[in-house]
Amino acid sequence: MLIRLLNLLGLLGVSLVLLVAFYFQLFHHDVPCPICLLQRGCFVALGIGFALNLSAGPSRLHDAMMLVSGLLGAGTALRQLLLHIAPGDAGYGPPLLGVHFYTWALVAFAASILYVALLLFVEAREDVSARRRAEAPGLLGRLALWLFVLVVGANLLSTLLECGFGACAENPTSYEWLGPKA
Amino acid sequence: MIMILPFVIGLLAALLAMRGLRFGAILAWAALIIVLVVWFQYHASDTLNVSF
Repeated sequence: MLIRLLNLLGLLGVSLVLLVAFYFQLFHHDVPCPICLLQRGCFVALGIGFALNLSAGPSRLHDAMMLVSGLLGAGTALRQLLLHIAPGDAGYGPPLLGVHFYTWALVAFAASILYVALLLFVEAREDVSARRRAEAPGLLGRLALWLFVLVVGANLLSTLLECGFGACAENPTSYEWLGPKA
Repeated sequence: MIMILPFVIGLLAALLAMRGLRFGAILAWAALIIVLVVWFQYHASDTLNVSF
């Protein structure tokens, strides 16, 4: 029960992060840069681990997938943070509560690694392999899975509008498929 | 570098995971990680103005 709750909250957390980024993209006209999109991709990879734990049952393999995704995401966010760390650099994009999104992303990925450690602690108390077949995701779990799929689909659509079928501009200010003033 | 590719693979992996198709979702996740690493190497081209 606790394991399922932790995975449910983890998946909802990943969807929430992606939705907040989307909110700023849509309502504050913050067009995401390629590295920003890659960080979103890492959040998607992280969410797949939680989704698998919910739908196919908890497994240390899924947890390992989340750790790899979290580390890759943290590395990507750290790289962008270092790019703008020099004095006088205003950073990229609008800040949220005084902190830029890539810094929040680094915090979130670090927190996700800690969260998976907590999940592993809880799983270690129970025989995860015996539980693997047992539990269905439940109504809330199914809703969280659908929300995650919808958020990933929305990211695919917005990236298609922004970049088309090619690479994105390094510092994009508009959507390629919506014209220069989008 | 096709920027939508990570999200295409991510959506596929998410759909497979939602259906409980574990093996397919894991394979798609692995492909997603590879694409993210390669795309990162392509886009992380600016020199960092920091010393370690």
